[in-house]
Amino acid sequence: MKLKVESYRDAFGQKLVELGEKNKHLIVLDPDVGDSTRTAWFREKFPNRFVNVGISEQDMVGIAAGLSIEGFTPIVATFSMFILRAWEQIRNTLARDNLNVKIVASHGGLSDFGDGSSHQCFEDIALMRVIPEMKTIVPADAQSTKGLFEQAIRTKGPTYIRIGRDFCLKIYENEDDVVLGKVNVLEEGDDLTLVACGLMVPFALMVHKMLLKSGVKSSIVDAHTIKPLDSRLISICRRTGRVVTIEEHSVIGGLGSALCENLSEYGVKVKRIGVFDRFGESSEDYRKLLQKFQLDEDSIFKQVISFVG
Amino acid sequence: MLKAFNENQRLILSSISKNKEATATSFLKELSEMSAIPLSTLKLNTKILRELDLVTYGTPRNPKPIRLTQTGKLISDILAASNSDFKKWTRGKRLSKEVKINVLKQAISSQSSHLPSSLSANDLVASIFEVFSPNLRNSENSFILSKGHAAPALYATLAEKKVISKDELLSLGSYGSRLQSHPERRYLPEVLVSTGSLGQGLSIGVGIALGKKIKNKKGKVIVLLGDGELNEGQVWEAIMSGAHHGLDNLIAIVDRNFRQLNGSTEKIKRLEPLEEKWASFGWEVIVVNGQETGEVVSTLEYIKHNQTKPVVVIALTQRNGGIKSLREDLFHYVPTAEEYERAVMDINEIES
Repeated sequence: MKLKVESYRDAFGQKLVELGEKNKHLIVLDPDVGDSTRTAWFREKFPNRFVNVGISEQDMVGIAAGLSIEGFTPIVATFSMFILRAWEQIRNTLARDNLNVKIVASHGGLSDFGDGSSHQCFEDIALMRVIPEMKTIVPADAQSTKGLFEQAIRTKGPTYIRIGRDFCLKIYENEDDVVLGKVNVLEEGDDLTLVACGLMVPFALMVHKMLLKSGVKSSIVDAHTIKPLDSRLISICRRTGRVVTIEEHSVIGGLGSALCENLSEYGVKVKRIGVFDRFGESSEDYRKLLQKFQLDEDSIFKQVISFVG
Repeated sequence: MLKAFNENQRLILSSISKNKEATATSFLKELSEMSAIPLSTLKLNTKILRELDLVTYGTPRNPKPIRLTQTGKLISDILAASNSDFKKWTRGKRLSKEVKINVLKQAISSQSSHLPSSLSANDLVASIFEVFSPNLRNSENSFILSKGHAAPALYATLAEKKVISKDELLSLGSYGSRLQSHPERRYLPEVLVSTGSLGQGLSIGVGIALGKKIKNKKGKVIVLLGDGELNEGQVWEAIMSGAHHGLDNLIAIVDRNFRQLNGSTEKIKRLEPLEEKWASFGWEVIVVNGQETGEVVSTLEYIKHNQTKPVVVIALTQRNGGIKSLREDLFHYVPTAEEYERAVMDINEIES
């Protein structure tokens, strides 16, 4: 199975420029990482609606709050690890006052393989989805990054969108193949359900093929909107009775946890695959790290097989 | 400020600004003839003004025209603004008095408010609303209470502005009340932005001020900070942002009462030299007596019409709001009925 390789941040950067043309209320705030997050493309095009606030994430979130009070739709974009520095500002100002600020957090999971554990982030989904009012979105590929970002702009209120750095695999043809708040069922099978988000969605599709060869029929679900969680996902999981969640995030507090919280009263068995309570590390190669963390398709397949017995 | 100078000194300061290159002797002679004030009185007061470094002039051997120094010019401008805004000044004082009494009432009814923090900020909040009427319907000005624990001062001021009733004030912090212990926008839109966690208001103020600039909108953004709150690094990030973007529509006011939760601001994390710190970050600094509503009102009026960059007003305050019979040293302090009666008498005395 060969999927086309694309880039999350390039998709975001392109979409941001496109939306900037149409929506004059968009303003972009950057804590001096615009070249890395690709907001630099917006900066070139709309210098008057771009503010490099310097390396000061807390100040940035406060400024975004003020701009939204003045009627702008601020986009703040930085590494998912470093926006966490402003978690309390996000919670106490953006969320409490339900302000219309969109956070795009790039370099999620292990995708910033070169920079090591200080930059690799497995905690952000947990920390964002616990905040009341905060929508939490993890797009699977480039098209869905564009689609979900545009839909997030059209939806009022604070939103967290977590994307990887570059490496992503194309699974959607069109931006509107995804709808914010609704899961996408990509394959149907009655034996178990694999629920994934982000880069783990195309990996789940590969695992689906491998499972078929072993006689296991799996449903594959892209749960890009982790909060609010689509109630349909609960009924899909209850139907197959067995669920595996896959995420490039800690198994504590992420997609797997969110699903367990919703399934615990229905007696559905859930296996969570993700990062097991540890930090990342440097590598010259993303794939090597995914293998080490057992998040490549072969490792995922083995874990699923041992779960279904 | 009006009280700091006597009538003669105010006359001299305002006349010098209109003076064209006359020496002190001829200037004072003419002024004496015009005003019928004895020359010796004017000479004495001019000398005092020179000692205060507000005017310069030469000697009989080396005659030079009498002139205002840079500080003298500033003070003369403020005095001019004060005079023309005398009505605002008295209204501000009356407002401040009512707010003080209502802050005390709230503390008693809720049995748990940050009374000292509210009292020290009281005259500042009242003055801000007197001059700018921020956050109210059709107002172009915005106010953020970054030291959210002074909520009672904000609520009492909003009651004077008829946003909430005086009866409702007594519900502060109680179950089901819109008057949350720290102000929240979703309960009361006039709060503008929810606070309570320290150190965040100035960044939000920078955002609003920047937004107004980009949209070419008029209006000032006023942020009231506590001095203890300046321990937070984010405040200094925001101070840099305000200066970097040249926000001549942003006014920070520091409630400088020298106390934070566990003691003296200077013993916990030294803030001094505070004026120099703000100035070196590129802000214009004005120090006022924050317990003198008249002085605060005149200063804010002056800034309103003369601002060319971000301005910080360091307001020297006391944690009993200048009410001598109240203690300054406690944080969550609820006065007894007897103390309340004494305090109201004190307030009437201060403000009369």
